[in-house]
Amino acid sequence: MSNKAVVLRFLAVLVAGAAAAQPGGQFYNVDKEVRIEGPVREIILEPRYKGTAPFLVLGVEDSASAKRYNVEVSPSWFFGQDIHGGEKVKVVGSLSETPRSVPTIIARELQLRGETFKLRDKRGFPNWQGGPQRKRGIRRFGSS
Amino acid sequence: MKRRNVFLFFFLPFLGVFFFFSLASFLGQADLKRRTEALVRDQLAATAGILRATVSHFLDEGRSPDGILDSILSDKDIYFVALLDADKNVLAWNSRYEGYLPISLREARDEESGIIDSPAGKIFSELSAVARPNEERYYLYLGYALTGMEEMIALSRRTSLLLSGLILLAGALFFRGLFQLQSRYMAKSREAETERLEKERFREISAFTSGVAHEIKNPLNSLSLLFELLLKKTPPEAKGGLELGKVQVQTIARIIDRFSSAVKPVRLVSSIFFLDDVVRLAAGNLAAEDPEASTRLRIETEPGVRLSGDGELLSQALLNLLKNAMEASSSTPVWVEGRRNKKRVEIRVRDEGPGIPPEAVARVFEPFYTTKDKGTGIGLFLANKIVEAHGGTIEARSREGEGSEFRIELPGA
Repeated sequence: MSNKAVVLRFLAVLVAGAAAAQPGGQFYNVDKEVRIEGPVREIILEPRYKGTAPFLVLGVEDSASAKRYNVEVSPSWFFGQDIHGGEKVKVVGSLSETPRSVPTIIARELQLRGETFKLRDKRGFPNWQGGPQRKRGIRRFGSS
Repeated sequence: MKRRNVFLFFFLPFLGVFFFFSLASFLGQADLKRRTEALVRDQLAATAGILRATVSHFLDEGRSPDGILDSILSDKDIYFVALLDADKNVLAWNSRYEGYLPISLREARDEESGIIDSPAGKIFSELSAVARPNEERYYLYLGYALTGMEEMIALSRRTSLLLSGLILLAGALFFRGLFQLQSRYMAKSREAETERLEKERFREISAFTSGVAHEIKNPLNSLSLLFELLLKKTPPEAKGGLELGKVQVQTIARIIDRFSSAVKPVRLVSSIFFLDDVVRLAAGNLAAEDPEASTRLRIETEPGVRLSGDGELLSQALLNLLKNAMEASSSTPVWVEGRRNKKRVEIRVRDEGPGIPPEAVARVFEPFYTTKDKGTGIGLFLANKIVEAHGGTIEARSREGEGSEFRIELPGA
């Protein structure tokens, strides 16, 4: 792991504490699917939905538009890969924009180092959730 | 019945029954699914109606969309719910799964329902307008879990599969039993046919042998009389050769008699008698024929055991066994034991001779089978025939070097 990656991870842990207070809330909107591609500029771990483990969120700069996006990947335990600052990623996901904050993309597929990670199905169902046998209570909510 | 016929008469109807059962089961499941879907649709419509009324009431109270959804969500079967404004913008939403709200606002139409296939199972979704007294317009998007329906269908499918399995198993067992029964029946039929052919052949041989015996015995009788006449008219110094000739003719006649009696069917002159008497009669005949051998005979019979049948023939059968045992053991004792065994009577003739080779044991009761140089192969065959005519059995056991044992079992009187 490079020094840059170590520093990014350290920053991510620091940011996670501050981000805990942020309101989560985007849902995977199937009408707003986008594709972006660019280097990772920031690695963040923050709670996104009430009562869940911290999510891995990547700050990605789109190479085409030079615009910055926060890419919500998955709970950190689910995405068991090393990722370093500066690495290029390709993302397919649902875009959520609000006037006063960085636009967020809820990732459905993430391509890293030539490998594609399926994070959700085409309707946004999270792949880290179990099948029909796994019953859970309603505990995640948000507002757009 | 041939195997092909068994297949046609039993297996094909079974397959037909199984096919109709499977078809009925499939149609039943489809019907169950249709009815359950309709039921769930009605239930969802009712739930959505209640929720819409509740939402409308909370909106009247001026609650925030988030607050409204917080208040109404408690049903575990609701996977997701969203409150939309008149332009179908999502005001608030709630989902059991992170960020999962499978709604396409581009495609969504009022009062439209559908089934979404998700990894968590089938979800029944509905978008419906919330009735408001004023001009305000809201929509409620609801996702309702169909796990109950899926469980019911899965249970129905499992039950159906289990029943099919049981029917197949029962069918397999039934046909296995049927085929075994049929195989046994075929084997018995073949056995009976072989026996019938054997009897036929034996009857032919019997008729042929009787004819031959009759034809030979007539000239033999004449020859014997001729020897008698010649002996009377011949000087004493020449009588030796004639005596020998006469004995040889008698021997030939005796052999022919034995062969004739062997092939003739056994005709019993039945009476009730004691086992002891039969054994003593056989022993007496043995003593008359071979006095030296009879000294080696050891008799142990249970007194008072009664038998039904032809005592003379049975003593003949026993005599044959005794002679056989005496010839097998030249100097050692021969044992005859008789006793009652429940409703049967058991007679054992045991010698301490060299024993019979295993391959010969199975054949000792066959006609004309002998291992002796001067044997005719008639004695044991005749003994077996007489015992069988009495409804009994006879068996030989032997170990080489340890002697032999013949065991007769007869029905008691």
